[in-house]
Amino acid sequence: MITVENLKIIYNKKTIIYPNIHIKNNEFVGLYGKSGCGKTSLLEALFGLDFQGDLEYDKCTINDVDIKELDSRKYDYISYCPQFSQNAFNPKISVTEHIRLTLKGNGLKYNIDEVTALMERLGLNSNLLNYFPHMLSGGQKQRLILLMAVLKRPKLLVLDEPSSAIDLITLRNMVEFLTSFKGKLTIIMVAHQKVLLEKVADRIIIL
Amino acid sequence: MKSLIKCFMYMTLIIVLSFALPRLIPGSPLFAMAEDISSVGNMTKDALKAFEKYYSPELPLLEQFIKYLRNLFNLDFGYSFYYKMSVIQLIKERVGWTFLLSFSSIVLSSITGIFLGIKSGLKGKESKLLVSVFMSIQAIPTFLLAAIFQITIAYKSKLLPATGAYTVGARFGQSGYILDVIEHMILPLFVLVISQIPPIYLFAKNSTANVKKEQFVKMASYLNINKRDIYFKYILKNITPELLGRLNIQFILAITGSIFVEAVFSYPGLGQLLRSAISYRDYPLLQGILLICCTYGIIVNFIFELIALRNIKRC
Amino acid sequence: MLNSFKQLSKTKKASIIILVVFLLVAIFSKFLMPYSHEDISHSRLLEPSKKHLLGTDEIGHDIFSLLIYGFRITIFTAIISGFFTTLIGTSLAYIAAYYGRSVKMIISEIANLFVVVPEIVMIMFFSSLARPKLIYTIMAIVFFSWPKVYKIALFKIMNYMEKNKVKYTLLIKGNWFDVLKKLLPDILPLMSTFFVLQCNRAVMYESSLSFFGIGDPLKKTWGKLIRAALDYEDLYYDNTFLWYLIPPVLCLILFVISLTFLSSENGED
Repeated sequence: MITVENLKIIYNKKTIIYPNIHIKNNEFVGLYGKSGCGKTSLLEALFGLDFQGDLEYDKCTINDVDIKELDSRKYDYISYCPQFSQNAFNPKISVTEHIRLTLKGNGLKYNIDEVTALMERLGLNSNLLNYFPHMLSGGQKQRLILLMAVLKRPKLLVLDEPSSAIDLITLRNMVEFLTSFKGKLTIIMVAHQKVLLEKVADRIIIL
Repeated sequence: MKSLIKCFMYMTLIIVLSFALPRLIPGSPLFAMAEDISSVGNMTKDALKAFEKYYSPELPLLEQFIKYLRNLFNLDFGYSFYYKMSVIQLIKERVGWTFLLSFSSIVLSSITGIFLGIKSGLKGKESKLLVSVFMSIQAIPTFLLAAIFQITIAYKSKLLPATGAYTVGARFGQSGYILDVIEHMILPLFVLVISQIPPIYLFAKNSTANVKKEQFVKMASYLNINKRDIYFKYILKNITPELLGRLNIQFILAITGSIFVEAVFSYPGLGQLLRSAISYRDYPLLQGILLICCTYGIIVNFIFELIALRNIKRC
Repeated sequence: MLNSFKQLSKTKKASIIILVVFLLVAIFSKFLMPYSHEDISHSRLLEPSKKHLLGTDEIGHDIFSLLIYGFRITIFTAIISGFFTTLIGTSLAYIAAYYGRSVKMIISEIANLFVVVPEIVMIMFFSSLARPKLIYTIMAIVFFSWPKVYKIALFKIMNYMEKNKVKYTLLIKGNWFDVLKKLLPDILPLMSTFFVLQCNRAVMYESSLSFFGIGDPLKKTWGKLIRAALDYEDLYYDNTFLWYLIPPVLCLILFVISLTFLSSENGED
């Protein structure tokens, strides 16, 4: 699904050279590397909007479409959860509203049972639906972002450090949750803990 | 409620100030009378008599103040020298025109300004020309703008009437009255709207651009939320608190702008009243207009504070 | 200083050049005026000629001299008003920030009042009461303008004090003078922005006041000149307005726009 050959990213006066990457459909790939080695830059360049750096490559495609030709319609089938989940919520609307808008934008119906079931699997109490973002903890926010990312039925799920604010107990929930999606869609996950990646991913790419 | 207390506090301050300052300013006839210097040279004999009757400078200060307060509560703002009518009567007659002009201008300028501002804010690129033009317009004093338009459009090209709210002799209820009023309103309203759009446009544009940079707006795109929903639920909702604050100021701007525009176009509102009051040193009238304007400002501020509080309470 | 000038945007450069020219005209106005501004011995209502570059008005003044004199008076009024407004506003903000608590509350509430009510009406009311001297006009302007400076200055000063809290708490053991010295490098650029802004406002207020006929009739600012032109009945009859009304209007607009662009932060770049 994703092919990257001879990619070089120039950003903030730093040049980072990436190894060739081929990700097949429905693979679960972990990305691991020391901080500053360019994990986030890679994700931003491939899946983000308005990436400010310069890209040089031989080939760089998602679903055989060159990334330069992709616009915001790529989010029809990609769910990208960047690292700033803490600030990812609109302070003026409730959690329910967030979910409702996400589903609406993707042409899906709001099914309260499906939503609460997913929330339970992530260890989230269903009364959180009425909360506003300032009432949520960091871990709750991260899990809710993951929830919405999955709800919109993507073909590709990209997670940048989805577990940084989560305690070990809830981490188990998340591991089970992610494992349940294995094989059903393509997942790319960046994490600091190699152990976590080893548990869930099919293979790990080290940058 | 805290806001109500603040409101009363302001009103009290204004009343005290409007009582005290004229008596303290050197050159004011009240000051002169208090000091018993006869430098009241610029007033006619009639004016002087009516003045003494209202202000009673011969009474001790405290009694003057009590009399002043009593007058205010009875809405007795005194007697206008020039117009030979009670001030409150005069104000009642004219205030309607002022409100017509200023509220229409607020509605028009706010809608246009906010709409254009948001549109510009959403676009990545800046339209430097538009921003510069708006900043230049904002810099020019309103009365100058009014005078310029009056000269070019009314006097030189004779496209629209130059003065008044209606053609002399026209009466309410007559056919064509409303059209006549509208025709006379176009130019003053136009000037007012032009002078009010720049600040609110620039403000909306900057607010929108700032909100757009926020992480959660980007996230909304990642979640594939509809563009329309992003505009309304994300951007608009988040610029609203700041925008309300700006609108508060716009209301004040509308009144002061209206005063100047009326003065230039001889529109029969408070502005023209103020102009004659100043020309003829009609102090009761001046004071009455001042108190009305300040009260208006305080009430508007109070209303906006209430709205802001409600907005915060909701989430 | 020349380097920092070169770095500014084109419009800011243009604004500074215009303002410097205006300032020079104001300073050297005595030498630039062909006749005294009080001289009414000329024939009335002459059209522009070599002897009278902008003609004469209906009383007999040489309009060009009036215009040049206007440079001096208008700019002088603007600078003085702007200076004192900035000084008072910032000083009070510092006092409020330093002493905090009730002092801050009292000053802030008074300032708030003046922000809430339309200050131009207050200025008009009070300056029309006072004797028609320029000093009273300036005082009225300063008296009702400092709150706006105060509000923003207080906000920024408190921000600065928060940022370097450790540095300042150590110094608060010292007296207010030491804290002020530390704040000064941050405050000065702020004050210069205020100064430009307030000069701008002062000119607007003064010309609006003149338009209403308030102010010192002897100190003929551009506002007064414009008012005189507008009062002249046959202004539009022939082309008198071209040399009577337009020049002061242009000067005023140019001055105000330059000040605006100079103090703008979000304009261009």
